[in-house]
Amino acid sequence: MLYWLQRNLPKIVISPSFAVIIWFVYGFVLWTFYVSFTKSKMLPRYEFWGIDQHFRLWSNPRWFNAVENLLIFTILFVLVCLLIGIILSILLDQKIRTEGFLRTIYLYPMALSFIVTGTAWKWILNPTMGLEKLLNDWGFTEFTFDWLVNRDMSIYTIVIAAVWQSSGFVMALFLAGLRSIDDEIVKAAKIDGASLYSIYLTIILPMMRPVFMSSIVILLHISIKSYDLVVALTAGGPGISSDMPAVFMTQMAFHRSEIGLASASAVMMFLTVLAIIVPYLYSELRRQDANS
Amino acid sequence: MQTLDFQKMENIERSSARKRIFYRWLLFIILGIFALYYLAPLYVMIITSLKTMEEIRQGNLMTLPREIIFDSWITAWSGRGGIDAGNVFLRPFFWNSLKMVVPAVAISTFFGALNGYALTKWRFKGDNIIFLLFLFGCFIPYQAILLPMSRTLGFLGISNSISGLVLVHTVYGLSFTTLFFRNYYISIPDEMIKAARIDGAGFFKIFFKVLIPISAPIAVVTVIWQFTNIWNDFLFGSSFSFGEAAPIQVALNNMVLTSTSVKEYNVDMAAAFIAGIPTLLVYILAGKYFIRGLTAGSVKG
Amino acid sequence: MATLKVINLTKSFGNTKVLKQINLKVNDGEFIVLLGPSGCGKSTLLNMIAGLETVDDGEILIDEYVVNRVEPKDRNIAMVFQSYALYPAMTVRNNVIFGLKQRKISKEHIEKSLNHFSKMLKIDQLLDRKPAQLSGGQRQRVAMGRALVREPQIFLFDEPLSNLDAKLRVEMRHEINKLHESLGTTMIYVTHDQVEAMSLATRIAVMNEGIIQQIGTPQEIYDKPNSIFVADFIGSPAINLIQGKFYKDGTISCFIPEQQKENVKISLNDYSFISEPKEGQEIILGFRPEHLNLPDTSLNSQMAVSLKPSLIELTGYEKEVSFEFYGNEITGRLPRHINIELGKPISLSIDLSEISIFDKSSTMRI
Repeated sequence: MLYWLQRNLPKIVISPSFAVIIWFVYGFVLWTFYVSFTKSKMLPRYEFWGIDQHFRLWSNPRWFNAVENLLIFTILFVLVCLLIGIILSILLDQKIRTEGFLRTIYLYPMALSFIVTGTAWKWILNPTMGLEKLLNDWGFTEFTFDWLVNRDMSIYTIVIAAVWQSSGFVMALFLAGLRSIDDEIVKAAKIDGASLYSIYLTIILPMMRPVFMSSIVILLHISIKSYDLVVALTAGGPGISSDMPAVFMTQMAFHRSEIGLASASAVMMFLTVLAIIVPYLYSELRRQDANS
Repeated sequence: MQTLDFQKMENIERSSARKRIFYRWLLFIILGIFALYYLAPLYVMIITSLKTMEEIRQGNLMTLPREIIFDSWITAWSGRGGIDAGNVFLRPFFWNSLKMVVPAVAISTFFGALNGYALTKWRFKGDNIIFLLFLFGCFIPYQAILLPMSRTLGFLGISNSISGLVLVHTVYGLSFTTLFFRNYYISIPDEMIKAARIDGAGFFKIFFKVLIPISAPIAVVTVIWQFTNIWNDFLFGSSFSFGEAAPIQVALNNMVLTSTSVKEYNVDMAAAFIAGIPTLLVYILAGKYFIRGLTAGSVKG
Repeated sequence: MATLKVINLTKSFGNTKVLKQINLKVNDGEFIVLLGPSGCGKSTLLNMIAGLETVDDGEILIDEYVVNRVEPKDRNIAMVFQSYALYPAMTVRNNVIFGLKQRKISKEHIEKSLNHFSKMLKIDQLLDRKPAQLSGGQRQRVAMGRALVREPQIFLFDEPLSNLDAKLRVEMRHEINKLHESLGTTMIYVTHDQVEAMSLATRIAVMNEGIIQQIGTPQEIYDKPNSIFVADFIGSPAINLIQGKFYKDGTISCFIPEQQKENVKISLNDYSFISEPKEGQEIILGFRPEHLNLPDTSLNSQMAVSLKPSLIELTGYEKEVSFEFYGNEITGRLPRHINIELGKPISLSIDLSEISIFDKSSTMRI
């Protein structure tokens, strides 16, 4: 008995946490899957109703609008973050003395919550008293900036604030990648006569493939889950012009008493994340196995 | 075979020295512009919070306050006195957040360490699969568990309470803490555990006497990561609590939304800044560990 | 083909002086090995010659031209690194010709040199692979190929063999030796491995703590080390060093070991001093293990000793035997066929024509 206990102690120790994960992650996800196939409105009902909720979801113009916004947001957010992050990391890699200080500045938004970020940018982008007034005062009297209340532009204000918050993170990832490169490779390239520009373009960036991969996956992940920032900055508005799937889901779940529909949208979000994460984890783990 | 051409070399030298200085300047200018871009919102936040509404209406984002007034900070923190619907202030919610963060961070970190230890130093059949199942928990979009969680909290009788939020954050923090500790312990040589076993130490003795004393670096990383995430959380807070039990981020958002007749941007900014202070402080004091958490939480596995 | 001159070169990293007033002259076609323990500054010196580190003070001249401020690419050098530093995202072919492409060399010429050198290094079958698909030895060859195709005036090697296993290391050493024979290009080679240094160099510069301790042909360095450091650093097993005093009586000069009980004197009459020590001066006598051997009548200056073995190690082709010698442990390299037993005295002799004498306080050869 004692022997059995000792042999199985590691398993016993891990089992409470494991049970919690199984129940609260996998069990709950399955529950959500199931409820998305029921007629649940304000309260969950457990009779199977088929895929009607999913039909309702995909014929709902508000959902389409949210998905479209997500696409616009994701593409811009990922591209701009990558661009800024890569440029900053390369510039910071030039052995400058103030590097630590600058890095701290570039990354601090990451420590703030999306609500704080949203509140700050909501004020900065204020259509009359914010940026517009600043530039008017500086002499650009024609300048108008009303994106926050403009149905066609409101989604881009979310991109602006999100890029401000997350681009430093990409910089940190790439800087860590650049630092892990064997110094001798850069030396060899210098002796081979490559300019700094072509060293980065033809030698170093191609070596950064894993960093590209993880950056993109993380940024995608952030953007699919983006909820707080939208709520704080535009609350999905004006109207539903800056709505996103995560906002749609909570709206349906907690305000519209559409639990079935909310679950269907959550299932869609879950499947999207799954489609991104599973191949990524697979390749990551394989790469690590190959390295070890 | 080439030989060195002295004249040509002298020209190259001179022009490359000039070029180097030019590029150096360009580098600092670009880096400086980016620094301003990142700092500007913080700057705007602070100076706005120190102005009166009168000044805000007259000046613009960048104009400095004529005199520094902390009135809006006081209003944001402890309200204006008087009880009316629009009078939301942060003090009680700040304590709510603290009461939520401390136990959630402590419990999830402890179990993360234990799990990481059991998964790496006492390999058993299926341990990798168990780890993968944990790992995936880092990625799920929380919308997929929001509804059942809300029902469970109701069932347990802890919906709309701090304990409910502690439970939620502990549960969904476990994946991250386990990942952090697992990745740290895997780099510690197994020989250390073997030596301790031969010396007669058992499972828990090895954990507490051998591993915990050398876990400081990863514990700091994990605590900071958990603290930042839980403090900054809005989704769980807004879904599972309202009114008096809400954490600070929810209160901040309510405050900004529910200001009554006149928008008080100075109070909003002061409130936003107050809500951001704890995580900013942690970042400034332990930035190295914060970054390590970010990169460890990203390059996963 | 080029000469290299280093004059009063100084380099500090922060408060640590890494190089202190280095002077070095390399003739055209020489193979110079910079040898020393890790942290002695040899790699820094090489990097400065390459232009990868800036010069604090002093001058570096290639073909009499001061190159202190010339970019690495304009120095017409090529370098082989310890980690090989192959570009992981490029094929072997692109790795090798990368330098030529940067220099806008014509396609035909690139193709010709690639063919020539990849055959020479036996990497012509690997050209389409990526570095990750190569073995250590193959990577080493590619790194060499990348340096060779450039046909530089000076080759720099930074511990190129230290990541290879013992067998491959010997093999590559031979190849580098042959390369130098056939190309005749000036080569500068950094290593901490004395066997590499001895077998490759035309001259060795032994470095320690930012200073070139001695520079000379391998034979000179081995036979006539100019300091205790060099004597001790070169040779395995290490040289035997015995503390004692200098004693002179008329025309007879001799060495008296410190801890001797009887009246032991080792004659120094055949030793040619650089500057003769004073009577009673503390000096150190050094002789290599192979010069403690069975008595040999053909030697004209030797000293007979009778010693008890305290440790016997068979290396395969000989026996390395340790003895107690007036408070010092000394080693002798004896033929493997002789019968020796622990604690049983054996008659041996020290070859006095091969000894070195150092001053104890300055640690220099006298």
